[in-house]
Amino acid sequence: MAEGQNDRIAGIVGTEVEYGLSWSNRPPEDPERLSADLIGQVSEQFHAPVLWDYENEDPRHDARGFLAEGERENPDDADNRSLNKPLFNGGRLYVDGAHPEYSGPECASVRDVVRFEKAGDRMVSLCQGAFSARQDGGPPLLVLKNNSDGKGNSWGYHENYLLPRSLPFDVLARSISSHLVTRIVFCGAGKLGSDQNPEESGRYFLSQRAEFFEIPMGLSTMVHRSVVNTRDEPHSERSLYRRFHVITGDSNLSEISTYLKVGTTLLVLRALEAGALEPPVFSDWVESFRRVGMDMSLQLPLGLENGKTMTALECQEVICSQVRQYLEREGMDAESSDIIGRWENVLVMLRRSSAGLARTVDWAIKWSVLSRYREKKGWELTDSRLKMLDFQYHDLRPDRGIFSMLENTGQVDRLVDPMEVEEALTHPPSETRAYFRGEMLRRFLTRVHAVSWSSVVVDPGEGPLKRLALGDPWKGTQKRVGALMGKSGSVGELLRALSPLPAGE
Amino acid sequence: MASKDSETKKHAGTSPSQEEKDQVGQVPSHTRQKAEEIKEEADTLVDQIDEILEENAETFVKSFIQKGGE
Repeated sequence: MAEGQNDRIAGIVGTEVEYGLSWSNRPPEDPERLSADLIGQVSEQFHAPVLWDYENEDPRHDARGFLAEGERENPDDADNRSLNKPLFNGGRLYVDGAHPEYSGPECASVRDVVRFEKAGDRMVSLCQGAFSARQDGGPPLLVLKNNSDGKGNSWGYHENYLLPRSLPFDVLARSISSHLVTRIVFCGAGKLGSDQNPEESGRYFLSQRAEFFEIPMGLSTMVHRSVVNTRDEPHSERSLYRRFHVITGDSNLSEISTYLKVGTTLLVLRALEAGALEPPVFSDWVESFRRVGMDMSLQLPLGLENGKTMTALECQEVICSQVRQYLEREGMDAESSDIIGRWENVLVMLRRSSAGLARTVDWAIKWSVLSRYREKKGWELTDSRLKMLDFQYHDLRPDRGIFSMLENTGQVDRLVDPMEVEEALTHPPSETRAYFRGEMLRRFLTRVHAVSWSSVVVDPGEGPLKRLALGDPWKGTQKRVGALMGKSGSVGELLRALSPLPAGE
Repeated sequence: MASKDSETKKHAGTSPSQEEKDQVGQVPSHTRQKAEEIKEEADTLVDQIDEILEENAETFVKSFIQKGGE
């Protein structure tokens, strides 16, 4: 079972970021190939040249209890290597369809989630720099950490929360829906212009993603996107755990927005796990999500199941106060206390339209920059130079990204020290199984054949390869295996010492 | 943050009327100082953006077409 500080299960989180990719003057002819070329630039300092182990991967399971149609992935070794870059920090850099993608390692603190996501941005930015340095003239390559191209195409940002299997999925879906619909008031990344309605090209949206959602619940992430995603691929012991896969979020540049997006959702899930939350539920999740996503006034009423209405901000105030009561009853660790404090604070700032939002909340930071720039220039909001500014806010080039410039000149707030981000490029988090994965790669690289979220495949030197199952994300931590790994001179010795932990196959 | 369009600055660029000048005279000096700071910050920001904004904005905005992902 889980061995979190208080026997809870909810507490491990990881995020996945897909990046937009384009030449400055034309779209890439073969985006999959270009994505592979880009991640192929990753430094040997960060990337361990081993295979990705597809044995345990199967995204077709639906949380409602069936298996969707489709083929399991299993590329040959050459493709496996070009599409996957397992990382010493326990994460994975890879190609997902037409986009480069970074999945951070499993983290047991929200601050770590922010730190490792930022490390991913930095790694991809370094790839971009190395790629450009090798280019012989030609237009620059832009890599954007955003989620829409302004023309009706979206790519993802996904959060993954470890939950107990015992929490019924229908209860989870119903209760989390209102938080997912309304949290964008403090974690939307903002965008200028609609992706779907040309008449709204001059409107500023809170959310990059909300316009793309069509159904309340479903399995697909690419078509008919759903407010609550039902993918049931726990990457862990299926009888104990569920991995709740959240696809409604925007990619954030602001560390504070990422921290609030993940932190508040984690606290809501913990309260749900304890049966301590009864949030208002909207009658139409999709319509409500879309309305919040386009409403900078924060005034639009949303219809509730009980026939009444509520604004997104009012809904957030109710959920936040229920979570506060739960935490006060149960007691809270330092991070939960910090998250709930910042959550309450941002809701007050939103209520008062405080200037501080323009240093912390992505959509407000970008709007502040856009509107001040536009005012000086006297341009219409439909001017393509302002849409360029919107795109460039998300640009990962350190000398051309607008957010990067704001950060370097102290115009936005940070959460983590840049030195801690540097460390996260090469070292795994210590409190989850990512530690074991990352340290195996670092200490015994020549003996590791492949890794995945739930396995490390080693070559013991004699006999067949051995797949070590990492079925429990709370195990394989520095505390549990750090000393053993340090003492073992060889993989064989380590395997003997670890037996029966982690469980071998 | 409520929707705040910048319509209030429509007159930017035209010379201030006598009435506006008089009003300026009545504003306490610390408020005026604050307003000047904000204006300076805005000018700096515009310079900072001018320096890095891609010049071929229209081309990029038109040609940035991605395949859906996830």
